[in-house]
Amino acid sequence: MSGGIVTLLSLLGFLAIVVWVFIVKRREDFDEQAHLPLEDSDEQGDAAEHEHREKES
Amino acid sequence: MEQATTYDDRVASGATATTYNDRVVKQFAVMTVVWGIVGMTVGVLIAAQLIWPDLTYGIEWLSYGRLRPLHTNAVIFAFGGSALFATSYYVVQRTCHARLFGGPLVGFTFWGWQAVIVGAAVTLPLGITMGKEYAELEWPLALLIAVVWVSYAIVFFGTIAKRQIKHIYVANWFYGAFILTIAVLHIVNNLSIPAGMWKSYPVYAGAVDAMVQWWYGHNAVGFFLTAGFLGMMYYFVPRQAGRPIYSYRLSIVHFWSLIAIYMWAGPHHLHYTSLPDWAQTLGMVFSLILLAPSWGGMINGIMTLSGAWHKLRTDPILRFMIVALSFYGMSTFEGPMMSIKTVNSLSHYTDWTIGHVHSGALGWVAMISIGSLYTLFPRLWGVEKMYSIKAIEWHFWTSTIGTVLYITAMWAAGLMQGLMWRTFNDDGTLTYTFIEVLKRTEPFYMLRLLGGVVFLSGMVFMVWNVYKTWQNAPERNKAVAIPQPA
Repeated sequence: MSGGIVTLLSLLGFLAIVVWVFIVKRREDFDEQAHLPLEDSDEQGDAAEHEHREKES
Repeated sequence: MEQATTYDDRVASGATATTYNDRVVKQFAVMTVVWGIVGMTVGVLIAAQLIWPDLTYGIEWLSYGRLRPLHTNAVIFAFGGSALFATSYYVVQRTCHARLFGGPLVGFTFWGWQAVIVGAAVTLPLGITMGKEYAELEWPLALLIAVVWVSYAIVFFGTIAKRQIKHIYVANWFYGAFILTIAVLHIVNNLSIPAGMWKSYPVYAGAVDAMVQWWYGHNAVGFFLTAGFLGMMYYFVPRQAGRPIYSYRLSIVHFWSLIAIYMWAGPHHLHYTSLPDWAQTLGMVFSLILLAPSWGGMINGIMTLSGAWHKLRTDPILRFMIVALSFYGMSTFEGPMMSIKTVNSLSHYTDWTIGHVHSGALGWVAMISIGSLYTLFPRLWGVEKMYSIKAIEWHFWTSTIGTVLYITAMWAAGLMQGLMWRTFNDDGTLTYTFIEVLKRTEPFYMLRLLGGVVFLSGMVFMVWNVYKTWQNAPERNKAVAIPQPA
């Protein structure tokens, strides 16, 4: 019985996450997080290299 | 800003608070390559032993039964583990703008982990084992693992706690889940009563012991070999592609669904055993549901390249990552399929399982690690790129071809074995003897050995390339400053 309640609460919790992520929040709300891997101090030389490579191809 | 000349000088003078701790990242990254070579070489050796059983002249320390756990421990925990330590320490610092927390504890995780690996390399050939798959190490080493792992958790979560960035990037969620879950799994599965220095007995017995073991075993796959490497994927694929992850929203749902579902899939390792039938069915159902989050994550990684597919033509590192994700997609389709009881009755105990494991281990785990390391090494040593892109190109093709040879050989062998084993004569006796099946398997074992050798040869390119990159990095000891808030 209590197992059933835990299962139900877990399912509701998961659905709440889905609703929060896809309905409450917008895509742009996550832009800052999504760019974290691209914004580091030892990245600079490399970003330039990527642009350079794209121009070549 | 730097007067001191080397990293060590700054450590000595205590002036490290404003720089990242890349020393431990470098240590683990280099050891990943070393243990990769060692673990895969042992793999090639035991693949050969299956064809030529007398290869090691009957020396008991080198017998198949003792070297097989050495191979699995070396590739999973030494190679894969070092890759996870290296990348998680790098990623958590870069995405939190914080130096690793824990001071001397950081170095302890490195030396402690290496001690565990050396301990495994000594005890397993001696025949000292708990006999639990992927948890063979006897209690003194299991205790050391627990201490190192708790230290790892303190370092990792301590760093998260002192972050300067408000958000906790999704890669850290995956790494965090991996670290926490492995701590719980390892401790619960290793509860045992010592009966001397190198012998102990589990506190569980019978079907309960089996269920605890495969709850551990499957979640070692789910959290060590999947969640951890997904953390790697969520940082290094965007970074190498130069674009943010395809959908950050999907990554959040991916995280929660994956960790919630993986936990229940273990019983599929115990189909048609004395485990209660309902538990087997539960494991099968959860395994089938697992396809959804697995493919969600794979699609999220691959689609990160949408609009930039041309980069695959020129960048073998990115190719490593995308092919890794493709193998991840393949093996996470194959896994749920094999967990269906009727399919499992054909595939279980055959070489199909070995093929499935290596599709994940070589194709996904090794290739995403290798790709991430090729992104990492130049940055760690302050150079623009790896010494030889051509060598990465060679490594890419040897890895891909080696994996494909390996898994197709094992698929064919496994299907053949499963079908021959279930063929009966009219009077109910078996049509084929075991030795008949074994003889027909031999050509596939040759093909598998070839695949393993080809894959291993790629690692030789990597060692050379890493050495040359290190040699040609004049500023390799220079520390990277942590960006300070404006």
